[in-house]
Amino acid sequence: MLGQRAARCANLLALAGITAILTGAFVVQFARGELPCPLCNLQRAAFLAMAAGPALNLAFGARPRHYGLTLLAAVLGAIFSGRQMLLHITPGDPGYGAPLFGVHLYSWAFGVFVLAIVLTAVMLVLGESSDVRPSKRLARLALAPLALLAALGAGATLLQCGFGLCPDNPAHYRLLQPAPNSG
Amino acid sequence: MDQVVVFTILVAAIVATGFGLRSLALGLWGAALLALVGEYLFHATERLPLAL
Repeated sequence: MLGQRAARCANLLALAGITAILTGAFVVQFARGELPCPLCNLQRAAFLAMAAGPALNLAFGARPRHYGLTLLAAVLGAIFSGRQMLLHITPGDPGYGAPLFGVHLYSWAFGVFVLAIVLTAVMLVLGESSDVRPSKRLARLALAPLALLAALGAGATLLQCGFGLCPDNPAHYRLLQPAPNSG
Repeated sequence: MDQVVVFTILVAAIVATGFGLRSLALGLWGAALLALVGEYLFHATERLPLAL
């Protein structure tokens, strides 16, 4: 059985993990200059949506519907990353973006989404023993960096896509640099 | 622009959770999931591939 303290730590760890993954994604974007494709952005958003369960648990106490939201987000993320893997599955396809330790980021993401599904199911199986004593202060502390990352995601996507549809193979930030044929 | 909306809903959901507005937070997290599904279906039916 888990106990309230361990359950709280597990939820905090989940938020820290999501924060670390998204920070890594933005480091790749801004330090290595790799612009995210629409599916990449959807996977980032799915990671953010996975924070629903741990965030609501920390703020209001654990409920099955909180874990349900995380499960749905993780399933959606697995669909997004799985689709991107399938788009690049043909032999000779270099894939999208540079690989990390020999594996593309969307393949890593697929593994993390599947792991999240399993871990969330385990928390649900543990039931009442995985209850969390709510702490709004702790929730705010853990959520502040995630809120910043989500806002950064909104800002970066606006810069990249402008006020139109995001390009399937982005090459530059539309709002910072005019398109080559626009003079 | 459509994806900016998804991220903005997520910012609002996180802020609502942090401020203890449970009903609003639950609604916004749910809206974010629906927006993700809609966004995916919208792009999946585009004639261009999502990634090259």
